[in-house]
Formats: sequence, C-alpha cells, structure tokens
Amino acid sequence: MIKVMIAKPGLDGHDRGAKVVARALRDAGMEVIYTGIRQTPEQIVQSAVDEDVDILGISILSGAHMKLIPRILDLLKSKGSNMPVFVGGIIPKEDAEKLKALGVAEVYGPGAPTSEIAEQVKRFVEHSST
Amino acid sequence: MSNTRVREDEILEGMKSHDRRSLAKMLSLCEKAPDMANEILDKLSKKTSHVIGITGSPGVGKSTLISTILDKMNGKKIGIVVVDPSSPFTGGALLGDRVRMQSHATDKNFFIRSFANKGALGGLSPSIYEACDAFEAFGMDDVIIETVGVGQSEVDVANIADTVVVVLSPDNGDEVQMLKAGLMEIADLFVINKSDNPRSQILLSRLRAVTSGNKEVPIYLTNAVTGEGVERLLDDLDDRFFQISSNGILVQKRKKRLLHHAQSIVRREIDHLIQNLEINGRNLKEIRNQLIEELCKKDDQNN
Amino acid sequence: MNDDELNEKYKEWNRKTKEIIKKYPERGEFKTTWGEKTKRLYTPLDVKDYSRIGFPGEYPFTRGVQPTMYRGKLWTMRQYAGFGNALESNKRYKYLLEQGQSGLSVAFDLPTQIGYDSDDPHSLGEIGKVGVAIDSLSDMEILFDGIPLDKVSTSMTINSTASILLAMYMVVGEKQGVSREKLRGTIQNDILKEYIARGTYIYPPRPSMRIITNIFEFCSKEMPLWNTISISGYHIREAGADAVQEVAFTLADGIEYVKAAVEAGLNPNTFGKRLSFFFASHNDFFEEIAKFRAARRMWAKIMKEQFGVTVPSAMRLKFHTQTSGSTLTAQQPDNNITRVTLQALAAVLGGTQSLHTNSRDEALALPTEESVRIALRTQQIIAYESGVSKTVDPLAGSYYVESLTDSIEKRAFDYIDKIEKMGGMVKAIEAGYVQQEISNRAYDYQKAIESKKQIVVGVNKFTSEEEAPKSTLKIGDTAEKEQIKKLRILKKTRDNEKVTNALKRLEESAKSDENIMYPIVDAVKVYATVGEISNVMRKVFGEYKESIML
Ligand SMILES: Nc1nc2c(ncn2[C@@H]2O[C@H](COP(=O)(O)OP(=O)(O)OP(=O)(O)O)[C@@H](O)[C@H]2O)c(=O)[nH]1
Ligand SMILES: [Mg+2]
Repeated sequence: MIKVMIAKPGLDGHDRGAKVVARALRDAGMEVIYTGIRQTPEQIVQSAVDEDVDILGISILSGAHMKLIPRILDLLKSKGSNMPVFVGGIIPKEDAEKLKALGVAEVYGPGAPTSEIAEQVKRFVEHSST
Repeated sequence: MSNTRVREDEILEGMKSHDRRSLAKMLSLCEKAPDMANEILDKLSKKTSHVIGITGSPGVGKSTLISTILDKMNGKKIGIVVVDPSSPFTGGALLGDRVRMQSHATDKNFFIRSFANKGALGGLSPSIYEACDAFEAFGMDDVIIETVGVGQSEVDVANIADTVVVVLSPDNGDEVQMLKAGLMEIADLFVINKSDNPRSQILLSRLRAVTSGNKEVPIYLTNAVTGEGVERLLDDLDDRFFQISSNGILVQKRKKRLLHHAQSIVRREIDHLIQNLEINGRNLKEIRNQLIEELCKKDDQNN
Repeated sequence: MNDDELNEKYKEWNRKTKEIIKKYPERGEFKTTWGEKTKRLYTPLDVKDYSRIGFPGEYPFTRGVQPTMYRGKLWTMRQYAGFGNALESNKRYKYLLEQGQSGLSVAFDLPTQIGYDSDDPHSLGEIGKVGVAIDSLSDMEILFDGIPLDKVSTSMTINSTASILLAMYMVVGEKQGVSREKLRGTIQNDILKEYIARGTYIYPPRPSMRIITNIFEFCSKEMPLWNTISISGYHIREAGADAVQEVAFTLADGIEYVKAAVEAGLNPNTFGKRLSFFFASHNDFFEEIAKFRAARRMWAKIMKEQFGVTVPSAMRLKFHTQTSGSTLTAQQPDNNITRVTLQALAAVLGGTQSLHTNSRDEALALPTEESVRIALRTQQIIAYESGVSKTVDPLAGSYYVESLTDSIEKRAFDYIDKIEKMGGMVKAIEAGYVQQEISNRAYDYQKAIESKKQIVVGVNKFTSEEEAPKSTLKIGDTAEKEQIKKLRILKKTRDNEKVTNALKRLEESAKSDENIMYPIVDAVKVYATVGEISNVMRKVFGEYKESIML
C-alpha cells in the first residue's frame, strides 16, 4: 500500500490539478493525503514526515516554485528524510531541469496523463525503498 | 531480516528518547507489521494518557472540533489519530481529516496521524490499538481518536477510549434517530456542535428528552469554528479523567481495552490463516474467483 | 407545413438516414459537454414557442439586454495587464487615462486579497506578484495619486477584503475632495465562488455573507453609484464545471446575494440594477452561445418571479466575459489564438457587455506585449471585420441553438431547485455539494482526454516535437523587500494608540450586529493595515477551512 501526500504551497487557490491527481492516485489504490491550499513549506514537510508517506507530490501554479520547492527539499533533508518528491504545475523547462538536479524525481506540466503519473509514482516508491 | 532488526532497534531507541521521526516510523510499523510493533511496544514503558474518542455522523464537525481543542491547549502533549474509510473496490483512500488541523502541523506538542480503515467495520483502523499504545509509549498526555464518520454504527471506539464524545449537529435531520444505532450507550458526553445554527436549541431539548432517565450524560453546545463553548468542554474532560482515574472506572476501561486488543490480534491471526488456507492445492482467492466465474456463466445461460 | 406533417417528414428522413448509416457509419457518439445526447438534426419541432425567446431589450431578455445591442455600441474591450507596486501601477493608470481610457481595473496581489500584510510569513514570494500590494491607506494614496476619482470608474478584483479596500478607496476620494456619493466603480465582492473555486476566502461563509450585506447596505446609503458585486461564474468554470453548472451555480450565488440584500431591507427593484455578472467562454461554440442566452433568460425569471421585481432594468443580466485560460495549451501555443478567437466570437454572439481575450502564451508564463496585442486585435477583427455585430442576436431561431438554450435552462434550474432544497447556496457549499459536483466533472474531463474521447489538438492528437519556449516569469525580490520596509516604517510612525482604539472598536462591532463598514472606515483612516483589520475579524469570526471533495 502506497501512502502519498499531495501538497499545495503558496497562496493561489488553483487546486483543480492537485485534486485531479489526488483522485487519480486514490483510484489507483493509494492512500492519499491532500493538504489543502495555502501551505507553508514547514507545514508540508512536517506533515509528510509525521505521516511517514512514501512519496510527496507538490502542486504549484503561482510562479513561486523556485523559491518554495528548494526550501521544501532542504527541510526534508534537515529532517533526515529521503522520500521522493514530484512536482506538477506550470514550470518552465529550464526551471524543471534545475529542480531535477536538486533531487526532484519528475516535473509534470499541465495535462500530463494521470495514469502515467500513477505508474511513475509506483516506480519512484519502489526505487526509493530498495 | 537483520536489516529490519537494526531498524527496529533504532525505532526502540528513538521512542525512548522521544524522537519524533521514530514515532512516525513506529506508527507505520503498527500498520504494516503489527506483530513487530507489539514486540517493540512491550519493551517500552507507557504513560496512561487520557484516550478520548470522538465520533458522530459525517460532517458534524469532529475534525474542526479537534483543531479547536488543539488551539486551546497550552503545553499539553497530544497525539491525534484520524481514521478515514478505504474504498472497498480499489483499497485506495482519501485521508481528509488532517486538512482541518493543518494549522497545527508544525506544533511540537502535537502529532497528527491519518489512518485508513482498510475495510474494518466499527469506525476504526485495524491497527488502532497498536497506534494508541505507541502514542502512550511516546508519553502523550492525551490521545484523541476521530472515527471514520461514515454514519454506520461506529461503536468500536468505546473499546479503546477512556472517554467517548458523541458529536451531533443540527444540520443533520435524523440525529436523534442516529442515537438509536448504539451511539447512545457509548456516549460519556454529548457535544452539540454548530451552535451558531439556531436549530441547535431544538436539538438540545430533544436530546435532553431522549437522555433523561438514563445515566447522567452531560451535553455541551459548541461552535467549533469560533471556539465558543470548547473551553468548558475541555475543563470537564480533564475533570472527568481525574475522576475515573480515582474511582476505578479507568482500570475497568483499561482491562476492557486489553481484552479487545487481544481479540484484534487473534482476529488478525485467523484472517491470516484463512488467507493462506489451501484446499486441494488452491488458495481461497482462486476458489472464490472460480465460483464467481461459474455463477456468471450460469447467468449468461439463463439470459 | 404544420407540426404533424413536419413530424412525419422528419421520421421519414430519419428512416432513410438510418439505412445510409448502416453502410456509412457516423464517427461516433455525439454529446454535449454535460453529457446529453446531441441529435443528428434539429428542426422547428425543437423550438416550439417564440414567446419564450422574446425581443431584445424586453423580458425575458433571451435576445439581449438592449434593443439595439452592438448596432448602438460595441462591447467594451477590457484587457487588463501590468502589475507591480503602487507607484508603478499609478504611472500605468495615468498613461492609460491619457490614452483616453475612462475605466481603471485594479488587480491586487494574493496577500492583499487574503488579508495578510507584506511582512506576514504567508506572504513569502507572493508580494506584488499577481497584482499590486496594498498594506495600508498609504499605499492606496500612492496608487491613486493625481488621478481624479470623480472622473474615473474603478473596477477592483477583490473579495474577502473588499470591505477594507473599498473603505480605503473612499477615504482617498475624500482626501481629494471627492464626496463618497460621487464615486463610481465595482468591487468583485463575490465570496461564495471563492469557497467553490477561487480560494481567496478568509472567514466562514456566514460571517462573510454578513460583511457583504453590510457593504450592500453601506453603499446604498453612502455610495449609491457603486456596483457592489460582480457575480462570477468564470472561476467556477475554470475549476472544471460544465456550461450548465457554470450557469446554475453562478445564478444560485446570485440568488443568495439578493436574498441577503432583501433581508437587509434593500429594494430588489433598485438593488437589481447594481448587479453584474462575469462568465467564461469555452470551446464548444454553440453551447457557449446558448449558455449566455439561457443565463439571461433565467435571471430575468428569477428576479421577476422569485423576488417580485417589476422594474425591467433590474431583471437584466449584464455580464463581462473572459475567454477560458484552462483551455489554452502549453503545446503549440499559437493554436491558442484560434481557440481564443472562437471563444471570443461565442461571447459576442451570446451578447456580452464586455470582453477580455486571453493571450496565446498564458499557459506558459506572463504574456508578452505582442501576445497581448494579438488578443486585443482578435476582438477588433470580430467587431469590425466579421460582420456579426450588424444585427441583434443573429443566431436566434437556429433550431439547435434554441434547443440548447432550453436544455441549459432546464438543467440549470434543476440544480438551482436542488440547492434551494438543501437550504440555499451557503448550506450547499458547507456540505461540499457544489465542490463535489465540479470535482466530478473535472475528473471526468481529465479521463476523457486521457482516453482520447476528448481531443485536444497538439496535446493528445496532432502532436509535434518542439522545444518548449522560455518563460518570462520572474519574481521581483527587491519590490518585496521595499514593500516590507515601507510597512515597518509606517507601523512605527503612525499614531499607534489611535490604531489600537480603532481596532478595539472594530472588534466590538464585529461581535455585535451593527454595520461593520463604519468602524472599518475609521480604522483605515488611522492607517491600520489590511492584515491588522483582517486579524481582528479572524479572531471574532474564525477562519474557513476547506472541505476536501475529490
Ligand atoms: N457553522 C458551523 N460550521 C461548522 C462548525 N463546525 C464545523 N463546521 C463545518 O462543518 C463542515 C464539516 O466539518 P468537519 O470538521 O470536516 O466534520 P467531520 O465530522 O470531521 O466530518 P467527517 O470527518 O467527514 O465525518 C465544515 O464545513 C466545517 O467548517 C460549527 O460549529 N459551526
Ligand atoms: Mg473529520
């Protein structure tokens, strides 16, 4: 059983994508925690660690991704967690490359098929637990 | 195998030193390997926390109430277990209670953990006993458990909680009806939430009428959004714990909890045996699938 | 031909066609976006009664809110762009006014919209991003410095903090010597759709409705020319609703507001004139046209039958339209120009009063100047070259469009009835019903794209390998720091005793049932900040926590 958290940092309320993905992952048989909107990096990381989720998904559309995601990765590291992280949202290619270099498993643009996301999430979790 | 031993030892040590991450791992162990969890828990000394069960129909405001309770706590260490239903079809689950308590996510004194019920009846998770023990071993002052809240009779919480809070709301038309489904018997106190709704007064008088004559069950009116009425509830919860600790009721409750914990372990063993049972070299799942297939065939022929 | 003869002929034609289909099958099943079967052919049998349609400028306004529509005056082409701090925005407004524009459109950053000051930890990375940052009256004074508020009309996209921003605007006006009753403009002030779709709520629905009612009341007494609400379906649609849901939920919101206004003692015959609406325009061309026509007819009926309005102008649904951002694709972005064209055309054929056309590159980043220009030119081509503005409601009488209009009306009224039975929109939102309905539709749509039942050109068909263009999104850190510094200085230099007292008064007022606008105005005058004022109300009203409906 995979336990996944979908988190939404920043102040924007555009949660359509986050919800669609959360639902698709649930329908793929996973236990899903969706944090709701307006979460600070601290809230997201502490929740993910306390819930001991297998993988963390971050949905971000406000354009503040280069500020918020590295902060989330740092916080995870400082708490001794090496859970895989994936990102969805409007992320320009050059930023996506940078995020991957920082350790993000994958960056999904708008319209990425949810079935593919579910498959990859399973794979990321398998990889990280071996 | 040796690998997991190391991890277990780490968790054991971490639990002893109140390391938050070890508690997180401990709780996962409760879900994934309850036997192992019990083994570790046996080696730990436990605090007698006040275990408070919160139950009631969907949407009455259980999670919001817990969040407001946390707002008003200062200094107490609290573990919170929230349980949500698993889908019987995919096994997936949306663990949605936590979102109402997210403002407390980074509070050092609180630890919120979500569980899926994995199909268990009665409103709780199959590993609830282990989880509760883990929080006590971690030294929590209170452990708050929110049941699934799907509206079936969620009475199992009385087997584990020292105090059962039944939450009602005037939004639900058939609340008093609900009480007949067993909730009446398990309530140590009632909360009528959403007191901002004028109909809460009607519910209050109806509830008084229904409960009169039975044991004295106090009723509280709260507005979980603004916190009105919650302080009085908290004071009385503390008083009650003090009372039951000194009048022997707590000891009885704990005996009962132990019994149910033992039963849950036995049930788990039996389930395990059944899962692995083989008849003529075939396991139960194969037999079931074949049966379904044959039944479907018959249906086709009949049509 | 009478109906019976027609019916015979129609059956006959169907029989023959079915024979042909046996040999040459159709491409598949055809359905509306809300899942209703689309017929092969529509005939006069689908449009029974012309009295349902009526004449433009007359009840039930199916054909438009004015008798001459675009023959008299074209729709307003309202594009808004450009953010930053108060000073930059002020410069831009002055430039636009010099160019002959008479209306200003103000977008605020998210902290301002959600009631956080710039120095609040929640504001990190968001200051000045999607609009101007306003912490106190001092920022508002800069924003409108040298702009004669008696000469302009100002539209502010602001909801849960609308009361505060409106108070600031009023005070700036008074400092300029413009009395409140002369001020003209609009606040969005539509809190219900924030819970449903847009997410900039602060307090729970009931206290939010109380604040809105206080604003209605205040404006009817003090600022009679001000439009107190713009009821928005746009965000509901963008969150995944279909056309029927967009109409239903928007009008149900409208009903809740009118009820609240009536309860506060306002006359719907005058209040009704102050209402305006805001819709999206999507891809399905005829459905969208029908949607606008149905919405107009429904609102007229609601105002007349449910609220007993007798003045026709208080029954008219006037609306602004924006093309749909969510239909634009990051892949092959120039295709978006075509999408926007179709959507804009649908809005015009549906009789919109004003229109914003999106830029082709919005799915990627903030639009470039060139893209913004193309978007505007698109509207101008429709207005001046296509000829669609030569006559009023040119698609009326189309068997298909009229049938769609009827169908949307019927289905949307079914939703509205259901919501009424639940006890109104606030109840339906609290129960998560509306959010759940939208979420279901959004999920269905996603599945349809993945299974290729729904084709999106360049995304799941006709794709091509291409290099993703570079983004122009940049976060201005310096603006952020400056804003915070300014706020810190303000908090030191203002008369803090006055602030404390004003906030105390506000708290008492919030707890009582008096009109909260007056103490807000007083607090604003002594430079209490948006965050401070919001925090007082947070303490009294509590904060809304969303219901997660997947
Ligand atoms: N007006 C009002 N609304 C409340 C109050 N308490 C909770 N709510 C609202 O009721 C809805 C449900 O609250 P939850 O806390 O999720 O209820 P729950 O019992 O935990 O629900 P489940 O876990 O789904 O069974 C939310 O919209 C809350 O904001 C209250 O005292 N007054
Ligand atoms: Mg709950």
